[in-house]
Amino acid sequence: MLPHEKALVERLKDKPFALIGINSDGDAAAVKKILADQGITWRNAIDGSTEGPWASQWNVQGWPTIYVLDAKGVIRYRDVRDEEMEQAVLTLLGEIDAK
Amino acid sequence: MNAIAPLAVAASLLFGAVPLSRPALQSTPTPVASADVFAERFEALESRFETAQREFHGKLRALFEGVEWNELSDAEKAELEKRSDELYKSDPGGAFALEFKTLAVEARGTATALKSWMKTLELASNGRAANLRALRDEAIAVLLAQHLDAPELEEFGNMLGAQALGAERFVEVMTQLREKSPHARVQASASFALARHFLEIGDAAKAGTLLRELITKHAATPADWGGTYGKLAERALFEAEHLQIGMLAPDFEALDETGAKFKVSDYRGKVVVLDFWGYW
Repeated sequence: MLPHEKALVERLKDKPFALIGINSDGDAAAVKKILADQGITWRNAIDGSTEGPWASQWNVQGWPTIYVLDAKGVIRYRDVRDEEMEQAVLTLLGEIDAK
Repeated sequence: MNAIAPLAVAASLLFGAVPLSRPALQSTPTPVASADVFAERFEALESRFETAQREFHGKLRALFEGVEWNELSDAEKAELEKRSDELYKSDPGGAFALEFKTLAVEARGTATALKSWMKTLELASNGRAANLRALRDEAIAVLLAQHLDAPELEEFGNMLGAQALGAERFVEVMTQLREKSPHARVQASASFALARHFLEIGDAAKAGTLLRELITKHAATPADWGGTYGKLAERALFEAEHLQIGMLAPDFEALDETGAKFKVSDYRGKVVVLDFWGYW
């Protein structure tokens, strides 16, 4: 997961794309350390725990749980990883260009 | 990490010792003494099963010790899968399911019968062998016929799935439980399992009705894995109504690792991946 995500973020750095993590490991201090250790450069929401407010409202039952949104904010894919995630993102970026 | 329903834990918690009253003076054997004997036999059987299961899991672990799946060649993967399949043939679950059933039948009318049938169901449901299906179906039928008022039937909602039972039988069993059990937790568990099934097959209307009923009727009914069934239903309903493919993602505001506030809607105009994760 992580290597693919890093590659994707690097590859699409000049495109209208954002990868946002919603982290359940703990407070900001704890998470900052994890992000630094893991070389994660993208934004992460601090949800605090697996029962955090965001994970709870969105009924997250397993980790990781993935949502892919298009440029209009519509949910287009769920739980796609690695190559599938990359394909999904590229497809949706293509929709922007096609306008 | 995946969230997993704690079947084994729940099952073992259910089977505590059952206190039985004993008449002060009896010269002939009573049904009570017989019930004790069955209880002892159940405990002994459980103990033997736990030993066999530990051994089996040990062998499985040993087989996969230090294996880096992604570094194996195709031939090595095939060999490992073959050895794993062979090992699974020695899974003690099947043999013990039969032993628990035998005890359950002998112990009919005692508390041990319920415990033993539940254990039969648990092992038969988890097993890979095809012949366990008949055993599972028999356990379900007996439990519904003879133990419909048992609180232990709350486990049905966790143990059984529509894929294994077939949708028709699954709906039949869960409906019977939610309508006929005297226990709130059993009703709620069955209703929730039914709702999840309807969500899976895309019947949003039926799912919504069940979830709304759970939210009001079972707001305070405690659920196995913490919280209440009402709360679980609320979460499931939100997901059903707002988080399906094709729906506009609900907005959410959060703080990031720098303390900055942001919203999902800030990213309109961009393709967004939201990744719920943890390093643990």
